[in-house]
Amino acid sequence: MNRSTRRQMLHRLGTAAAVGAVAPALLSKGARAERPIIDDRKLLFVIAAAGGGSIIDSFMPLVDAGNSPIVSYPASFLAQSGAFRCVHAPVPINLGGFSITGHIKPFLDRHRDDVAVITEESTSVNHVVAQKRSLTGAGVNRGRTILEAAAERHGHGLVLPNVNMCESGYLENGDDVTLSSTFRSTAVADALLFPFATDGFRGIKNAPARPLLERAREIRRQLDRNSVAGHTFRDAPIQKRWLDARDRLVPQMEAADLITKLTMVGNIPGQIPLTEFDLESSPDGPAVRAQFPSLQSDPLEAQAALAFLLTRHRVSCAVAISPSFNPLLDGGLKNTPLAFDFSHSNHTLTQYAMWSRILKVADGLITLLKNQLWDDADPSQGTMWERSVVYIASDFGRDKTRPPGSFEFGSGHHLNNGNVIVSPLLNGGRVYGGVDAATGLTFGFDRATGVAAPGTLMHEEDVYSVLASALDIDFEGRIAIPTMLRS
Amino acid sequence: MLRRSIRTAVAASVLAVVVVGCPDPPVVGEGEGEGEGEGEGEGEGEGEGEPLPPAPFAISTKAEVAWKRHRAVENDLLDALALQKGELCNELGIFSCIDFVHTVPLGGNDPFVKSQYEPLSSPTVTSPVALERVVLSGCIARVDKDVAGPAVVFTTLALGASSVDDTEAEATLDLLARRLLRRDLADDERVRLLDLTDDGAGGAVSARDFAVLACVTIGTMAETVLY
Repeated sequence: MNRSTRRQMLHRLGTAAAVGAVAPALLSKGARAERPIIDDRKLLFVIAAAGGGSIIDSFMPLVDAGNSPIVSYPASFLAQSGAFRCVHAPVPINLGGFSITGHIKPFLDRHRDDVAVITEESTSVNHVVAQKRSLTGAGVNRGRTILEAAAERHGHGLVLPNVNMCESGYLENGDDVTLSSTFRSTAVADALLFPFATDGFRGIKNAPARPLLERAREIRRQLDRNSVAGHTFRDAPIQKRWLDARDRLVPQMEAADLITKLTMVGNIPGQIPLTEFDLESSPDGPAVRAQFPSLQSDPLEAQAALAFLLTRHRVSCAVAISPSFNPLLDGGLKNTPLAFDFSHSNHTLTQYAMWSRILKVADGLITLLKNQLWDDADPSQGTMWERSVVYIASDFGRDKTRPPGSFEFGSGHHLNNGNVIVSPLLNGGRVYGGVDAATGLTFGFDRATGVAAPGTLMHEEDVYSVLASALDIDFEGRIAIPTMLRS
Repeated sequence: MLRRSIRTAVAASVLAVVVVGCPDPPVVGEGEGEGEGEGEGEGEGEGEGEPLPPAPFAISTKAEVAWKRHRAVENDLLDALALQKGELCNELGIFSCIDFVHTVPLGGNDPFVKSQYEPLSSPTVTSPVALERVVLSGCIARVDKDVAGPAVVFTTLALGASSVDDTEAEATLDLLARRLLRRDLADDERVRLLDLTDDGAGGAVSARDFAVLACVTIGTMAETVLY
């Protein structure tokens, strides 16, 4: 038994003992199904800074000493929030004729005690490769993405433990072939209409009565069990998964009425005619729409709303969202073309616009999590937020140099960067590591004390390990960074 | 009641014929496990379910099955149900099931708008739901068109009738199997499907509902998308 497995076993035995369960109950397959539910579930939300969100253009900016060739900002474009210095324009700024209102400082003002910034130097400047590595910690946990690891640790009994609404490399599965398909991500292309994929019949006009359709399903089940194809390929994994999903999991989704609970929009005749199709909006709809008023037109807002609803209703425990690489003009420029990667054309304003965009959405999500009890019937279990980790993942950083003093320049990809993690489970309210004013490069910190350590670097493995530690995910090779964990 | 007795007798005789010559029925679990355990090799595999009926033919040792993807599903259904693109399935009457809402769970991808450069390698939990919605919508659309006339697919049914007799039902089932499965029904399959003519509590099912139910039952069998 390797160290990781042993640790996991001990952890589970320990938690089982805490509720009076006995160890042998964990050892037999039959008894395992009756294992008491220990509600230590935690939640992971990944928000992808797709295209390369630069940490020195957001949470760790340098002060321009005057005509500097290093990417930096004049004091008038900087603000302080607690221990954080951040980029903040005093007035809305103009990008291509569109007005951009900053949201970095407002975000910090609201959540800074839970914000931990960790410096990092990644291992690829290829978008797809770097995106995947930002989720796998460059393969530190047998290639499992942090979403898969969180789903495996906290997603037992959930219908869709791991839901991924991202694009490109952020959407890729991990590389651990031993991981059960149960914990691999379910890809969701359109958050707004996803609820339709949770019920086979509701919302379809002129369908026969549900009992008749259920009877048809049972007959179909018998047909599949007895057909030539069903027999011949009974051992095919894909057929097993299909039948398991169809005959076991889908009825669970339908019984939970997810088609209602996840429907974030209200009835809009002519556009979203729910009532005409015998459908209704989620009881959480008003709260969700208050935080995300543009969810009908802004896919990122819809993704964040669905992320909340999926976790709120115990469907998922690990959810990833991401802005699109496509431009979004919705009463202004909401999403730059290529998201953060539009920095190739206009670094400073793209970084400002996109950081503000994803932090505004993160703000809405965190507000919902803070306002929602984990268990409506048991306030003593606290809010959803108390179990949550929000990881703002980035492909990589951007170039650290510019034409001296310029505000309008393009930047390339750069390995050196940092990540933002927001969670009450971490020692937040500070930056871990630092940035060299002479080069714009970030450096690391002492993992035990948190003291900045010029000349050292943190890597993808460190970020993954911090996330894993906060989420109680143990694995061989996890790097201990106790200074970042809130006791 | 008499009809049900006849069906039961036929089913029993079919089963008896099948049982002869295969004395050791394999036992394979239903439900395939829930995914509890330590992470490795879980979620699938054998359980303690009811035994599968014996088969008078070999079990594939390679067990290689392909997943029929969204565009092929669409084309086959349009052909089988004699519908035009756009008539098959639209959520809320607006959003195309194949091209938009259920593209991904049906095995498609959108590299241009969604930056999904590769489709899913295997079906997800929501894939069977997506298939059900597409097929059910298509079946309803076809029945509605045949009710309006002239009938194209459901030519052997009086779609306005409050019940269906076995002769009509069998003809419809055979016709649907050829259109949707590209094969004839086995005798035991036909017998099972005839149960769709009643509601399970002694009540008759209308011809319209029977047409839809038969269509969606056959059209969503696993072999329609796994081959």
